[in-house]
Amino acid sequence: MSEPLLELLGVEARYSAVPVVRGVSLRVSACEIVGLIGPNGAGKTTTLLAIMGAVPHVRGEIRLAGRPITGQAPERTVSDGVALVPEGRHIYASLTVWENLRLGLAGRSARDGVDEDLEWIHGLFPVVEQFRDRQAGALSGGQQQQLAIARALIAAPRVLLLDEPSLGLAPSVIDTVLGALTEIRQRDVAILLVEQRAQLIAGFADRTHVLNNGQIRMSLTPAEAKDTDRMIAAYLS
Amino acid sequence: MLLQAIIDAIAVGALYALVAVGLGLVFGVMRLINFAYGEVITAGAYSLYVTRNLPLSVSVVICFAVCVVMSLLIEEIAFRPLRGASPATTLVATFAVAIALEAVWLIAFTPQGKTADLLATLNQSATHGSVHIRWLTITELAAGIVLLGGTALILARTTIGLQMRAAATDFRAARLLGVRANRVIRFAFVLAGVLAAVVSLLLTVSQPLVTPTFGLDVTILALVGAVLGGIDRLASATAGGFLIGFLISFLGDELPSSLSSFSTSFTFGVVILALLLRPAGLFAPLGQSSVDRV
Repeated sequence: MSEPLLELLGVEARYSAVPVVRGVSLRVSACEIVGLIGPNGAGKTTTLLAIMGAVPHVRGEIRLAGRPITGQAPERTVSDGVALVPEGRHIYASLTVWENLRLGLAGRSARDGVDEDLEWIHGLFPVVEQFRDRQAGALSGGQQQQLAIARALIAAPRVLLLDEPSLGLAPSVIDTVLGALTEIRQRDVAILLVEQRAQLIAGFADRTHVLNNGQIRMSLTPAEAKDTDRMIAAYLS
Repeated sequence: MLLQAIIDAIAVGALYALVAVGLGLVFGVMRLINFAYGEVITAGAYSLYVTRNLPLSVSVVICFAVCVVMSLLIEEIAFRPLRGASPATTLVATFAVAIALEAVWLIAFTPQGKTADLLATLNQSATHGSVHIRWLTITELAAGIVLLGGTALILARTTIGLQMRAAATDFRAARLLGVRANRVIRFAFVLAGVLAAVVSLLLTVSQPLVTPTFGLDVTILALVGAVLGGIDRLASATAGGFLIGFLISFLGDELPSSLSSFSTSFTFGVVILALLLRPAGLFAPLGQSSVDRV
């Protein structure tokens, strides 16, 4: 197994007294897609925010390419090479599509290669180029999701975190998004994908962890994606 | 002279609009009403007094430097350590800074006013028919247009301006995109400092007597204007600041002389009425509620 790009070791995260994430360990290597599924309130989003440095209290260790990044400020985590596509997309509705995309440049540490990356991103998501000067709030949900991923990619991340990118999207758009993820991983990016659609992701990702009540209950390979009974048991545990 | 009163009122409005922008920029990125802003204006005015014997250009440069450094220092020393604290805590901190600095002015300069009349020549008039326009009025108008336009351009065209707009909408999401929080906040304080310096310069022309509360009065009135217009957005806050300045000057000119000293009372009467009818601000988008404002 190759050296993991992103590694969580016994991570515990809490906003106040009660921990939301309780001892999660996982690793994602370059070119790998790892899924994180689980019921509402399991701690999936908090796990991602803890990696970003946006949760006030985090214990355990989070490493990026072997270097600890636990508890550092979000903007530093981004410039170190971790990009998040947040839940609900967080597109700035009053800004144009292009302005939203430019905001993603704030987290980019490599100054050159922007044009090439932009060309590649426009190839992945043509809508981003097509509606460049339109107000982002006027885009459909699926288009906004594509913009959110494009905005994360322009930061040239080594690790891409996605929080429920399929939420509220039509099946054809979900296919576009998953297709894009397959292309993104080929550029040596490590992808951690949080989702509610358990079976879809378990069948798609290289490995999928089931998170419940802040702990990983089970890990699945694509071959086990159809094992509904086991999955339900992990959800109910 | 109605026309005369209107022209004067527009100029005063422009000055208050600048103060409202200084407050609105910081409010936008921090959701913080910076009561200490008036002290930055006061500091600039006192610097003009202290440097009154130096060449005018040197004095002006020092005034800008003092205001920008002061603005930044307040953010570094008082607000940065409180990042993430509750809005009530930071609000109290801005009061604390304002009151502490006012005490400093009292000790350093005594309660007696100090005269800073470097730009007194601007009080001379350019006469056109029966309308007398003071050079100050023209300068205030020009400064208002240039600085408001300049601020708008910075926000619209530059990367840091884009980041400020994003931060004003959703700071947490902006940080998660890699926008550097402290850099954006520092920039807002620098811009506010530059605006405060211009306000100091212009205000000392009509009020050359600098007292410890020199900047506080104009700040509170401009803040009322910003809230009146809608402090959530820079444009509406600016318009509100302009309106309050306009009203104060216009009512002061046009009310019968027995009532003109009450122009502030009349202005606040209008403000109360306006906020009763439109609590989210006069220039806020229709249908916006004022519920989650701090």
